[in-house]
Amino acid sequence: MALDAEEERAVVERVKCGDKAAFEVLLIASQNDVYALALKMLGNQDDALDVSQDAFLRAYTAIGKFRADARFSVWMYRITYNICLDRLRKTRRRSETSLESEEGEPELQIPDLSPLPEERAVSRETAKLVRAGLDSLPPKLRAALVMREVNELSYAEIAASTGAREGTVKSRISRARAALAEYLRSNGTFIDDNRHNGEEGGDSDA
Amino acid sequence: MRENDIKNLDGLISASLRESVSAPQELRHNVMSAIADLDAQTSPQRRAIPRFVRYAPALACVAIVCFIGVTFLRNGGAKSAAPPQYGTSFDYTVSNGADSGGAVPEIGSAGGSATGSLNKDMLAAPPAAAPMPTPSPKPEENYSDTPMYAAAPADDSESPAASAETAAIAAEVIVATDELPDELRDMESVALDDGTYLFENVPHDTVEKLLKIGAVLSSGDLPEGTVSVLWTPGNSVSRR
Repeated sequence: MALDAEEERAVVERVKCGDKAAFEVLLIASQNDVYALALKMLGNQDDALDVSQDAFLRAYTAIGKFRADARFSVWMYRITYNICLDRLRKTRRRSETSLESEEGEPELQIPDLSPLPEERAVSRETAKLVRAGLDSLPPKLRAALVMREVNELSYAEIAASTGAREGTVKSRISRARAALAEYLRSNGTFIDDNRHNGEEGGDSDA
Repeated sequence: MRENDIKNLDGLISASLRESVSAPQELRHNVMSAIADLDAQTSPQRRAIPRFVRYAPALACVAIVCFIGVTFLRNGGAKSAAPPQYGTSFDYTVSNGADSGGAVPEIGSAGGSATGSLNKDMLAAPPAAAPMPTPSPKPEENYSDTPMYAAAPADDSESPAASAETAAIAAEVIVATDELPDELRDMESVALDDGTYLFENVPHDTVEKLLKIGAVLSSGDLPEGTVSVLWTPGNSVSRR
């Protein structure tokens, strides 16, 4: 259930007046997007749930500071993004100091989610590889790409959510795509297109 | 995976990432429960706080104001006004109290024995107030203090040198031109989905030239001291 800007503003005002039920309306409207961002950022369902809960609680306690001219959904992205970055920093610090991690701690879990019809066209292996490639990106590049591709935010909204300039956001997304392509080239198992075409159509020029 | 998949990376990413993600049922339940707990905790707690603790900050403020007032009166105010009424807390004698003008206050009359001496200079110099620590927000709490759509917070991914370059070059100016500037013609670009073209790693002297001819630009961030240039084709000229 998506709220438009006007509805969102009205609901936020009700929350500011102490209406808890109104906050639930905001929660229902944005929980999937918040959770999706956290999931793509962290690559782990438990962490994503934890971060999402944290983000909503912080939003609830800080709703008085929320400016009415902003979108609540963008504000939620920003809170979630900051918590995710913080958590990734802590995780990285822990993994740098942990001997266990050097001895082969399992990588971030790749969520096994039910595919959409579009994804059915892509092999399961490829989808997993893309997700693993996403995990390999620096957090800020990953966040920008996820907000664009998963949350379908505009460049301006991503800029507002991440506190970066719009030009920076475009640059980050572009670099994220390039890095992801490089990752796929390095780690993917490729089928020779020419041979494949030849087998199918008998018109191989290889 | 096929080579064509890489060529069609956007489609591949979209297909792989744009899966419908639904938040688990427990998210809503957990958040609302936590909020209910939060509200339930804060109200009774506030009521349960002893009155003394609740009003401690106010009492401390009053005490500070009183102390400053007394110090002021003892220092200079006493010259033109009636001598301050000392309370029982000053169990000292004033060694040169006669200099303060007016009548010598009766020190210690209500407080019992005098145990030390306090000269005028000591009275004149109030203890320096300890600087109040300024709480700095945690990184993850920045959201609450950062005005939305106001000045963007500093991007900590940029090196200091790169930030200086950004300040010099990226005055957030976009000047759209109908033709690709010569300086960028031979460079590789990425066509973005909003109609702009992104040029990465543009040499600084090229950027300087582009700035001079007013042909550009909004810059992106500067990985390792390089500049990204966004060029928007079109006849209109816009600045922001």
